[in-house]
Amino acid sequence: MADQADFEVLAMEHLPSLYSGAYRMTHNKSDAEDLVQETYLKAYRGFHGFEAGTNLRAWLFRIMTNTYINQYRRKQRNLDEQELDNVEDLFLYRRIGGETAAVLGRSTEDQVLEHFSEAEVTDAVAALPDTFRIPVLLADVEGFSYKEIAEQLDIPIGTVMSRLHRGRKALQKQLFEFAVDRGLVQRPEPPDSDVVVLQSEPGQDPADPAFEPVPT
Amino acid sequence: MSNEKPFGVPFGASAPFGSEPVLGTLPRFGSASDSSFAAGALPCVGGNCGDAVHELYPFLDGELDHEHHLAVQAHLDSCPSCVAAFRFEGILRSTVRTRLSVPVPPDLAARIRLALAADNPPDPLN
Repeated sequence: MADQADFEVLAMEHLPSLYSGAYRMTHNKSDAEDLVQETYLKAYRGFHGFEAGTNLRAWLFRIMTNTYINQYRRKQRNLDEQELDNVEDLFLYRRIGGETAAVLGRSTEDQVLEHFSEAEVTDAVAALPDTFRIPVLLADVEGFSYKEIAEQLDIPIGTVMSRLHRGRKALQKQLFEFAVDRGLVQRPEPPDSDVVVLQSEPGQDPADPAFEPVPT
Repeated sequence: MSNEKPFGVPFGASAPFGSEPVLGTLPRFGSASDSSFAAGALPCVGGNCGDAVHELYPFLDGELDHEHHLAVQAHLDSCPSCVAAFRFEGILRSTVRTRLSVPVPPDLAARIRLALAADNPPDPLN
């Protein structure tokens, strides 16, 4: 059993992590501040229920996540959840890296990632339905284990894994849309083409009327 | 259209590989991998690669049991294509985490402390 007098000392050090988490959930400074403050009040009142020696940050996140889900959860759904099942493994890697990049002399496809701005990553995450967004945030940003996430969301570990899997792939699909919008990659030709080429200089694309084969 | 490279950075610039703790056991993407990659090896389809990719997330999450972790690691030790793909996924994750970092408003801690001080928890002796 934890002593309430210790609460402030122990809990306030997690404020940066909690605020960041709250902001990522609510996407709104004012809501994030309210959510964090309410989390601290609930945690303070319930601190006798915290088992000393266990992970306080995970416990605080559990309170915050549940508060968010109950009170702030967004109504909006930007992505059809059915769409989440139509994303293959390594979706983004196959499209912005790999063979295509190597052939064009851009073997460090990782560097494409450096070009995603804060706003783009934020928007890509925001587009995920909460069901998938919250587990992805808890795992990939907060670094919680499957077991901790399962406890925070009160769902089985298998469900955590399934939501992470689908959520992460959906996030890649969203990021790919930004890469297309930015002109970093071209959208594949419908309906079945898997071929995506990085934008080439004029005259170097076989489809371009000005195409001239480079002598080897 | 200009002659600018589409990505706007020199391709020699290195991504922050190594800052990602979960990738600590992955081999570096060395010259051997580079040559195999540039030769056009299609990454990670079917067979052992398919099995490894299937375990990609639990592997990166550090959630595989010892036996499965070793099996994936053994495959990575012999498969530069999968190393490149796994490494990409790891860097993607650290990119997302870095981009989503938000500074705490300067007065929030003080406001929370005030709210806690003003909150009178029920007297346990009452």
